[in-house]
Amino acid sequence: MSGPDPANVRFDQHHADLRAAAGTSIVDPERAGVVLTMAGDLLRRSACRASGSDEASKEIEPALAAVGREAALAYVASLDAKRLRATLLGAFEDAFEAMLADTKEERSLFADGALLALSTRDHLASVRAALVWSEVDPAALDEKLRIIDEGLAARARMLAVLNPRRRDELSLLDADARGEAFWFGDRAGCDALLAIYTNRPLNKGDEAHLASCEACQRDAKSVGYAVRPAHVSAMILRRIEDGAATATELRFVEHHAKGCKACAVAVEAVRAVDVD
Amino acid sequence: MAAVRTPMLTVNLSYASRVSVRSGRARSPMSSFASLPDAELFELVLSTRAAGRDANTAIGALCERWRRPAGVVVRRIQASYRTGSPDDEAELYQEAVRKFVEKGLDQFRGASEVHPGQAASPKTFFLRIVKHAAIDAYRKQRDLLEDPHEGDEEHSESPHQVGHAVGLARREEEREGAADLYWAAFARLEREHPNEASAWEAYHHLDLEDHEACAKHLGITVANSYKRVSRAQAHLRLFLMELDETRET
Repeated sequence: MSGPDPANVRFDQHHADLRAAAGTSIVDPERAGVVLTMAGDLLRRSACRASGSDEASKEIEPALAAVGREAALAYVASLDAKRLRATLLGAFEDAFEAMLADTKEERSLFADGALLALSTRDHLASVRAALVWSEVDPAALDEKLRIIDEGLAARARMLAVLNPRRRDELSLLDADARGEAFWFGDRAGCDALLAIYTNRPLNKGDEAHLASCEACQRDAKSVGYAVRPAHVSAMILRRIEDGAATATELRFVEHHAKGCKACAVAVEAVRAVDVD
Repeated sequence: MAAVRTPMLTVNLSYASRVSVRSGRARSPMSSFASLPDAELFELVLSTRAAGRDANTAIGALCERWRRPAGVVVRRIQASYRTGSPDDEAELYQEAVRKFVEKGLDQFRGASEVHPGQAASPKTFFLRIVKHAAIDAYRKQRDLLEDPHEGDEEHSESPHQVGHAVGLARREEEREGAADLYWAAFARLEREHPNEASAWEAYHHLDLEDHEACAKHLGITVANSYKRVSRAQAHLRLFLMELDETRET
């Protein structure tokens, strides 16, 4: 049985709220943030607007006109970049935990939480789009986004378990909004990562993807470097010399040297020959 | 060791010779360094480099003072390995000079790592480089001698052997790089997921390789051991990917 398009249902409330905002005067920063977010959500998703992309101005412009410039800037000023970054980092961690979860319920809980936090970042992109539409300088927001996003796009491989839902979200965005939306788009096709993390055999789809995806090829190579220490490395020997080897490293050295003569001799040489 | 000299060592030899030759040619500056104690000459090296000027003459003079103690260190390492020839001393000294110039000068911090709070001497720092260069060399030599592909050509440097030695040297570098990466990833696992790190250590570092034994060692259930090792694997793999990417960039 086919029901209403979930994406359209999700944005129904946006349409109603934007209509309600039109013609008012919004001075409260928090309320301004809500309207900016909803307007921006639809600015970036022409397919989700009430009457298609041509109706953007009828639906969105009156609502944005109600938002005072000072209220918009005050909303931006109220955003706590460090807290928002922590939320987004939490989304990455939760997504990884969802992959490792034991039960379906646990997996859903982590995945839903992660997706919700990614949506928070998406809302900020919507706020920016609304500011630009309203000809309000987004520089202050851009500075906060720089803090929030720093280094996170490179960690998108952690979101692999959310990929089907991220792809759904990405497909709703207009083409020009997709490029910047790393939270939905980066590595969204790399489902093979799940097999790589968990050392499961690759299925045919994974194999086909891996054959053409350079990022996955690089990641697969990285995990192939070392999955356990084979011998006592030169670095560990230097760390022993410097007194900097950790307890774990020393336990490995002691254990390994019992069964590996070559490493035992090297460790003995480091300890026996004092140059001080 | 000279008989199985790898191209890497050949390169080292020519580099170190360059430093020595320069120092040999520049007789006047060399003699002017004679009155300077090690610490002052070392400071001169650092300040000359910091000013962007050529410090090879001063480095040559400084390292020359440490040639004999370096030989003592090499002989003691040879005794540990029960191998080596007198020829190795010069080669390993030159290898150490290369490492000292290329990396050591920037890494020297002036503080003793073995005796915190005390000043470290540049000489001790250099002799440590000699010591580890010797250990590395004799470990590699052992690998070469144990390598089944070496065959009868052990005492010549045919193109085949040189190519093979290049391959081995590259493989060794990759192996060392991989080991460094692994330990960095494991250190992060210990910080962020200590329970998983303990299980991984028991299973893989201590070679228990059996969840019953691992569970007993850690005082947890077998199911928990399995879970922790699986989680450790996923996190380690993620960390390896991230660290490797950082290393590349």
